[in-house]
Amino acid sequence: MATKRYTLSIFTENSPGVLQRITIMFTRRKLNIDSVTVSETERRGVSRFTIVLEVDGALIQKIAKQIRRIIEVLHVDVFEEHEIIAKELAFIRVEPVNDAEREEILAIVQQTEARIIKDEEQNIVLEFSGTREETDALCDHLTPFRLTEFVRSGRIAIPKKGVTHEEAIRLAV
Amino acid sequence: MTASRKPAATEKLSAEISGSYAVLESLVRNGCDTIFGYPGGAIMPIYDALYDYRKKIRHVLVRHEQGATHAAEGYARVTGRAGVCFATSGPGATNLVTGIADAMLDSVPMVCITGQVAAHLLGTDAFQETDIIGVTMPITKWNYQITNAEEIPAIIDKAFQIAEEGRPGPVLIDITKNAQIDMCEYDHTPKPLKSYVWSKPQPKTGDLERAANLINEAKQPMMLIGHGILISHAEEEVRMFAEHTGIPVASTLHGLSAFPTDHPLYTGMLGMHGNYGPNLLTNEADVIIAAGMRFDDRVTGNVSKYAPDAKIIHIDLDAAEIGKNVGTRVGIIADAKEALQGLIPLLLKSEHPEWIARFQACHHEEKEKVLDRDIFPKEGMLKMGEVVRVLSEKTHGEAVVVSDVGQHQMMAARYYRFKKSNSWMSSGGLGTMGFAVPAAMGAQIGAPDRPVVAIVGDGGIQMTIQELGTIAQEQLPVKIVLLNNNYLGMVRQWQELFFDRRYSFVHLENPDFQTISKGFGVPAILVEKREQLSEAMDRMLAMDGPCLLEVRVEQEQNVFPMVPTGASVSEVRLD
Ligand SMILES: Cc1ncc(C[n+]2csc(CCOP(=O)(O)OP(=O)(O)O)c2C)c(N)n1
Ligand SMILES: [Mg+2]
Repeated sequence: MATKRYTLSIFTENSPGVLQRITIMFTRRKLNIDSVTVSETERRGVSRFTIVLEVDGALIQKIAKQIRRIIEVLHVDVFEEHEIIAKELAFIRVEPVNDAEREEILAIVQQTEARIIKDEEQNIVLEFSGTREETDALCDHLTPFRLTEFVRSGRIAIPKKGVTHEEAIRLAV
Repeated sequence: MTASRKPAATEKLSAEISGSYAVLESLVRNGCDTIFGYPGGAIMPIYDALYDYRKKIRHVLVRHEQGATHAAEGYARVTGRAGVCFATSGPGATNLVTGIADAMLDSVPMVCITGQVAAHLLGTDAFQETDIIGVTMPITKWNYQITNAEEIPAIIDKAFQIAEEGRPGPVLIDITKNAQIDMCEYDHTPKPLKSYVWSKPQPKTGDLERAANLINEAKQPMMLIGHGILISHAEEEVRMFAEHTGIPVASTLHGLSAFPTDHPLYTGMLGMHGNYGPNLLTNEADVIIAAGMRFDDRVTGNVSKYAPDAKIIHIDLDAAEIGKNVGTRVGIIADAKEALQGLIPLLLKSEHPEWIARFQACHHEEKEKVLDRDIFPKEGMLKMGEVVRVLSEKTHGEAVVVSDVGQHQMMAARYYRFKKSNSWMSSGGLGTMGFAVPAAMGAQIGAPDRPVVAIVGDGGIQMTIQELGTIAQEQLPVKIVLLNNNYLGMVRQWQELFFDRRYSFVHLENPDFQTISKGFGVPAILVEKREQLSEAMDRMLAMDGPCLLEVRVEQEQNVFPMVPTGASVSEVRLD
């Protein structure tokens, strides 16, 4: 089975339990989800789930159809990596022990698109948004400087070709 | 206390009523005339209101909530409308689980209403609190918890709509006690649903044309029919399709009775214990038209060796079924009736005499090696197959046959000769022992004018035997044929064939079923010898009320043909 990274965009009515209904479709096949992000869409009452996982290509299409069958689900898209613009947000805490280290951290920040959102002597918090690989690369650079805490959001993604779900959610709440 | 909460006279379009009355009004307006249920603390306000609806709704007091679910399934399958169950919170609700799972796998419309602790107690481990929404989420088509009386009418409308529309399935509505007691505005004019819009997919012309081309060019085509034919009432279309194209028809377990057993183009049942020809020849077919069936693993055997030469045309209303288990050349997402109506005009009139002759040859082989010995044995103990044959003859193939799960199920499926559509029900997807007795009870209520006969094993009957009490109390003329082999026969067969005859916990020391049945108020007849069978069957069928006919059958008989697990359908064994 050749697995690939897929991103699902799932549009649903905003009601309790929908997340559980969707995750059941993965857990019953013992699949592990890499990330989930949920937010309200441009339309009130409609939620958007962005789910990322590594899975066989034929299987993801079957699962997508089973998810589409959930009553609250209005629309499902399955995207490959090249079809989407995708980012995640990360916070990174570093604790430099001296000024030399501080300088090096600031240099790294300059080279990347990271932003300093808290700056105390031994407590610097950076914010970074980028792809998973870019975030990982930044972390690798910062590891020597007492990287003590790292948290990232799930992926959010939008298709490059334009909106796909407009019709499907037109009739919704 | 109740009087003030009764709904006001219906000439007023809108009225203040309690949530419990709103539940019952909503059930009535959705066409519910029967409820299978069992009361308890958390659903008492609804039961109190039900007391005022005794003339409009028949409530059947089952003996276990599982019985309610199977009865609702039986009712739903004969009427095509959702079966309705009531249960209290906690143990009442969890007792519904098996039947809900059964209805989910077999696409049976059902609406279960459970009582729940008051909203302010949710999540506190209150007395008889179970998170039944969480428990049933994977086994319902939809479920919902109502905590506010105002939600009741719209949610119950939606529950019926979801249960019955499209591919049917079970819905569970959990109602907290406060929502049952609180008053709400009840609008007697039906409201349009705003949040759930389902539109029936229409067959696409391009798909129909591609399918028609494949069928018109096929040399060895086969048609496979399933439960979807019965659900969409496409029996006539299947017959027209088959007679026009000369294509042989085989049925899944759930498709039985959709096509008359005696029709010259009918080749038999598919699957693990299906007929020899349709299993064997699946792997020689060049085109397969599958309608309203889902290529269950019991039908396909080893799926990687299934129908290697066939271009598969799959008609199903549920898009998720297309391509799920087998690759398809053309997927038609549509109601089977509409798809076939669209397809038939595109098809050339044809015949396939040589191909049909292959099926006939297989049938002769099966007849000689299996069938004649099963249904016309000359000596030895009585056999399950001959009991089914005699039943089939004496009911002229016109009864509603409800089977349990095991060897007797396969014998019933193989040897009852169905003349009327919608005459067979069994637990196929879940394979639930204990299904038959309560399901037959529900079927009899749904089809009071038809003879309903349950065929059940000595193991399975003991899982829901208490429903004999319900049958007696309701005076339902259900007939129960108990095929007693003192074994969990199907499991014993597997142990014999695949586990070196190591009979590990399959022998049953049974109770005296005659005494038990009579104790419940259901007359019972015992048959131990071949000479007694015919007369005993007549006596059972002549009874006005219920009757249990226990037949002592050969203990170690096996069901053949058989496709062993992991084998290809073409490796079907006759012995
Ligand atoms: C609730 C449940 N438990 C266990 C099984 C597994 N099982 C399938 S058939 C069978 C034996 C059924 O025995 P009986 O009812 O006597 O029927 P027979 O096969 O002897 O005709 C068993 C145990 C099942 N299908 N359902
Ligand atoms: Mg038995």
